[in-house]
Amino acid sequence: MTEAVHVEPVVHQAPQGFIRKYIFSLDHKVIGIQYYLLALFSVMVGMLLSVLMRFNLAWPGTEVPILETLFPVGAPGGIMTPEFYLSLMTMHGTIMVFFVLTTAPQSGFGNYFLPLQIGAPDMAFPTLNMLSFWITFVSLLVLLAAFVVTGGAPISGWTGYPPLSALGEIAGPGLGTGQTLWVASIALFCVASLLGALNFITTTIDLRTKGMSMMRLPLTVWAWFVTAILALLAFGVLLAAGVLLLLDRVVGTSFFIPAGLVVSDQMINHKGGSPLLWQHLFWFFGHPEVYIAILPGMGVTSQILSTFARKPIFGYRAMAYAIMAIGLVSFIVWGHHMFLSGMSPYSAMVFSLTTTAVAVPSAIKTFNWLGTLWGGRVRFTTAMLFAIGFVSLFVTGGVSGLFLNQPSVDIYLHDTYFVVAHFHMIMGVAAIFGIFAATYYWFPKMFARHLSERLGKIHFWITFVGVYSIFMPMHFLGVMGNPRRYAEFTAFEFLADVVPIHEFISIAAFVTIGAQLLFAVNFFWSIARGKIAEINPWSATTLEWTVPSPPPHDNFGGRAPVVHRGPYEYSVPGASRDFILQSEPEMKVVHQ
Amino acid sequence: MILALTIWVITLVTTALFIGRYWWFPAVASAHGPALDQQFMLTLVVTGLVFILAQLGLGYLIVHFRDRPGRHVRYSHGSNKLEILWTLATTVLFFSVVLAGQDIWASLNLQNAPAGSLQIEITGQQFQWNVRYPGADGKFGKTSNTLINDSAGNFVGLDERDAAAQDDVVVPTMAVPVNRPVELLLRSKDVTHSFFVRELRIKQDAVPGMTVPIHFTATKLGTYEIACAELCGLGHHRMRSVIEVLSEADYHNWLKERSD
Amino acid sequence: MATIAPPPPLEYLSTRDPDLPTWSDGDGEGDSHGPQALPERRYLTGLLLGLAAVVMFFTALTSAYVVNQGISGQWEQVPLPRILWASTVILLLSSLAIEKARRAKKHFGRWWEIATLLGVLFLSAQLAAFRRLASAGIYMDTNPASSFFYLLTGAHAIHLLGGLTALLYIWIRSRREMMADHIAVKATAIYWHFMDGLWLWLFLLLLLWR
Repeated sequence: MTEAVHVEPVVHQAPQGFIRKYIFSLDHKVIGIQYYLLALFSVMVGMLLSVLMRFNLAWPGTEVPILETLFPVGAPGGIMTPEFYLSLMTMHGTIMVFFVLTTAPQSGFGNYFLPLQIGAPDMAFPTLNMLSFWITFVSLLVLLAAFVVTGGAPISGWTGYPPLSALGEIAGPGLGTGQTLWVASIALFCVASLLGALNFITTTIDLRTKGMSMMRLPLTVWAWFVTAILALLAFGVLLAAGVLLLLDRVVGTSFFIPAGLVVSDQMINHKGGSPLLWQHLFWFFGHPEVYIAILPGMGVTSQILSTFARKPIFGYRAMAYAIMAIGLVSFIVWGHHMFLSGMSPYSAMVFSLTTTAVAVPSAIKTFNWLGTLWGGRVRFTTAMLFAIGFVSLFVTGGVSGLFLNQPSVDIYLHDTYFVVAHFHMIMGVAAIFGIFAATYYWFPKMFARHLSERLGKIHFWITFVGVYSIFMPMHFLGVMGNPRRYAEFTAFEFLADVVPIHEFISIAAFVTIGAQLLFAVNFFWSIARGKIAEINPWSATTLEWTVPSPPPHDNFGGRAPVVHRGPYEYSVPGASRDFILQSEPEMKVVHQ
Repeated sequence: MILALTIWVITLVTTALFIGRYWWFPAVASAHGPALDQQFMLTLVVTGLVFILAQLGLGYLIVHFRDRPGRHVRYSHGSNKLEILWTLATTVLFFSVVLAGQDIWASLNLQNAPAGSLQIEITGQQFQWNVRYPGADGKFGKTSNTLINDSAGNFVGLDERDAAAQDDVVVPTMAVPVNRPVELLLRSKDVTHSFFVRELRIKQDAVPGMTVPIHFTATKLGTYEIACAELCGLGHHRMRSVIEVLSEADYHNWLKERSD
Repeated sequence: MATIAPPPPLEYLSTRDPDLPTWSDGDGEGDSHGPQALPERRYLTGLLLGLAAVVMFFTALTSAYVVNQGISGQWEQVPLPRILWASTVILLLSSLAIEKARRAKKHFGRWWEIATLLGVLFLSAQLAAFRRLASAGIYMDTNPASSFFYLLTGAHAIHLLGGLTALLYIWIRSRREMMADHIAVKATAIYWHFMDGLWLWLFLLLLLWR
């Protein structure tokens, strides 16, 4: 190999044959779409689970014969059992966090567009890229298998706190094989994410084309880059935690299980572990994970706001630094999940302050988005609607964080629906809005056709009003002290008051989830029948808009584009049109 | 246009619901509760203003700067002055709010329970609370997990051979005297639970292998529900008990009835 | 009135342009994948990032070790098998052999062979240590200390096994071609030295933090 330093590029050969081209493809664009479809499938499963959950929360004990047909164990006599509810909840959380919010914005869109936006022919390690997708795929299968094993899916929540998750079936149904599959799936997912993160970072560092300095990167690339760094450092820790939990379950070690437990009146033979250790390790991962889900959405929002306001992004450098700051701080805030866990109250105060620090770069981003709109010429495409929706949801979900980062206020609000409202707003729907915005924006590049704007706008309106109707009332449930992760609200007197609100939320959820069918229809219909798109339908500036749609196998036809300027040059005074591509050469001024 | 209106309507409805307090906290019944509620209100006012201004501003921007004939874009890459300004402003604002609340936490968690507090031990298990009073001698007797036997009614593993254990009272519900500091020692014998009483504004995880102390003073007579706030298994939603806040005399009667 | 002329056509560099010196890898992957070969330095970047993830993994295990030792009432120290001293020396020697190989370009194969064999020897020594403990009745689930002993040494051994695979692969290839300056050799060497350092860290942890 040493002698073969310079290989003359031969005629470009894209892989032929269905399997190499679409299944075990090395092409980052195919892999990106594979990830996206995996997330699309997962989000449908996740939403289906929430339909069942919302039904049980609003109308517990209702007999629905079809449920018995579908879930003979989970709903005997057509009535859902509490453990069935908890298993739905666990799987909903796990699927949504890992296979949707981590997968679609980063692995999906990042894979597809990061190389294109930096002018690279592919990811740095195409084989590794393929491998990480297929490990993710297997991980999803392992997780879903938990539904069909004896005892069903685990009931310990997506956070899987031991000892509940470590003790096995004695602690409850689903905690046997189901829980083991859950841990195994998480461990696999960690490996896949580590490989993916390594690939993203290397690509950004080493494969930028000529002229694409770090300070000329589109903000989407900044977001994917920092997200990948977070993933690289966080998933290693979760993997370690997963391995320990697996050993506790399978080998009989006691990393997380203290001595002398008595479960169901039986002495447990374990000695000397710490349940809090899991919480520390898990949240050391878990908090960066929140930013892994939301940062790409921030990048996409910046990109889209700038494009459709026809204005350069306000404060590009501040935006890039804010992304870095959020990433950095996210590693020293994990304790705010544990104020009441029994850890040292002193550290609670420290974590409270570090958490407050996250609010600053988040606020900077919001101000800069507003600054970008200021003085622009705002065009309301569906992508833009979702991006504006993202800003609105980000503010709403962000401010409720200022309650929860105070240990004193958190005493009351911890583990109530206030928390559910907070994290769904910011990590759930805000991130989902980022995914939708990205889909409407980049679909023409990926499939050479437009999504239907008409269907898209209906989809946006129902979703936007819907998510506020679902999650805003949950704040009040939290204020009323409604604990989360309850299968039903029948055993407590004070919970009688919350039932009407839950009924409202459930109905809102059904309508909103129903509206997502519009998106699915739009997506698949438009791939085949949508309006044909030009190369650069939005008159945007970044490199992906200079290549045909969909881009050829090696993106730039065996050449490398040269970049001359920053990513968001819209409405430059004196220019002949209202956008200048990043790769357009310097222009000469012609005096008339 | 419609989007701006929608954002405004959502903002106004939300604000109205918060101001109207249609769904709100239960009346406070503990000494530290009012301060905690005040801190909540302070945070609500600050975040509420941020929320309202940001949403109204967003709506205004998209209406005023919508694309229409004759609109010219103000080409700008931003302003460092503004960046510094709003960085400082948010830093000062948010940190002041958070620092204002640290005192409450410190008084509850950094200081020990006042001397002479009534000690009560709570042991969580799937899916019930076991409440232990030290009895007449004021001392908790020895316990051992190996002696736990639910079917024989020894839920916390009391060691009957220990003299101090003879008069310990283990009951499924709780009572405390009003206006007297109480220290709770939270334990669990199986998985993690969390002890939550809304009216008293207390919540704390009960972690197996640890004994976590918290303290409070109940200030209002009444019966309040104890809920579990940490997922503990299939019966989590029905892990209920009650705490009665009684006058000193009633409390002694209550305990006496149960020690025989 | 100054206006700007319409934009000229976009500018591209061909892959042979000297302005793009990094498109010069030409490994198998690049060939089959497209004419624009990917830069070779990506291997080292990727490796360093991979090591960062490994560091995080072992940092997590280390903190778990420290925390649990602090709180556990049932911590019974594991008598460290003496053979671990031998394996430490063996591993250090293998690193030395790798460096020797990289410098002795001509006798690369010979030295590399020695390094590989030393690697195998190290793993055998670790296995022997496990056997020693097992014969004393100390298994992974015996007590928290033994769990951590097997966990830390086992996790290291698995990582080392990966390195050993790379050593073997290069050894086999070196019998047919000149490998001393190959990027794979550099990467493997870095990884192997890192595993060396990691072992020293774990060994000292087990030895001193008790």
